[in-house]
Amino acid sequence: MIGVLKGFAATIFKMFAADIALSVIALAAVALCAAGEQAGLIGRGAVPFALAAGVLGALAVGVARGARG
Amino acid sequence: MVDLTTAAPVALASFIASTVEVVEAFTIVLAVSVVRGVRPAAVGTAAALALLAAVVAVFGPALSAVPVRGLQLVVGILLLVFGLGWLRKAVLRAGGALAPHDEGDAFDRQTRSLQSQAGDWLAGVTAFKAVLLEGTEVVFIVLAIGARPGLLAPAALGAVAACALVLAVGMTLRRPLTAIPENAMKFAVGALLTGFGVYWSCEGLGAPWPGEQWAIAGLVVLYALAGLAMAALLRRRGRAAA
Repeated sequence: MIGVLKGFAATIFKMFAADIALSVIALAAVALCAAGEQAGLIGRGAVPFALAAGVLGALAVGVARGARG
Repeated sequence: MVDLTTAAPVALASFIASTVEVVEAFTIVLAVSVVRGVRPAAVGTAAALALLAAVVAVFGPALSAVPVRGLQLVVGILLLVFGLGWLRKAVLRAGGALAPHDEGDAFDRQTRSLQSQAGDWLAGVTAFKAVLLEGTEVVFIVLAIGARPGLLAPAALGAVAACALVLAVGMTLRRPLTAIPENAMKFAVGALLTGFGVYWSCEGLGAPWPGEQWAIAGLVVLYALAGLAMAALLRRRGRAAA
């Protein structure tokens, strides 16, 4: 039972936090878009494009970090 | 009633994602079946599937009671983080920076481990654990991409179809499904889930997408192409370093 629970915890960690930096950058992209739109720095129509670009950047950082080992 | 153009991509995404996870679970269940017999493998698998089905049956309808905007944002962010993780790993494997997953090797390791264990009970628990843990990811995908009204059924249908297909092919062949292009499928699923995640995160923020749901297709293509370009760069860098 303990083994199953440990495995379950490891699975959840693997799903969302295997690469902490990638997850944090993706979350930051969403938060920055929301904050930018609230502050009037980004127009509502530009939010989707800003988020899509932010996520692309997160992927590039995650791949670059992974390739460095 | 959900139209086919909305339901089909959800069912397809669920089917492909579930196939990858079910193949991994099947490798361990097959090892249990080969070393300890069909009974502990079947009992462990059935118990885990019943538990996973109960989770979907309880949480799926409950999600419809959550306000749509908040649900879209939470589910979108979770899908985004989960999908990016898959896509990143698939890019690294396609670019040669990470070793590919080998079902044959996983089967051999599991078989050796089971041979050193005593008792059908432990073998049954091994099958239960494998199906439960791999199935957790399937359940998350089904609940997340089926979290909009009318989409839980097509998402669940995609997962059930994947289970049935892998089980039918696997039990016919009686060996690990090493010929399945696992990394290509993970690549596709990573791009799909990231696309869904970005789309729903924006919807949750109240920012409308031009082209509405067709934007999901554009996002999936964008992340797939970006991933392919990154993998090609990694391969080129690897060749230059060699």
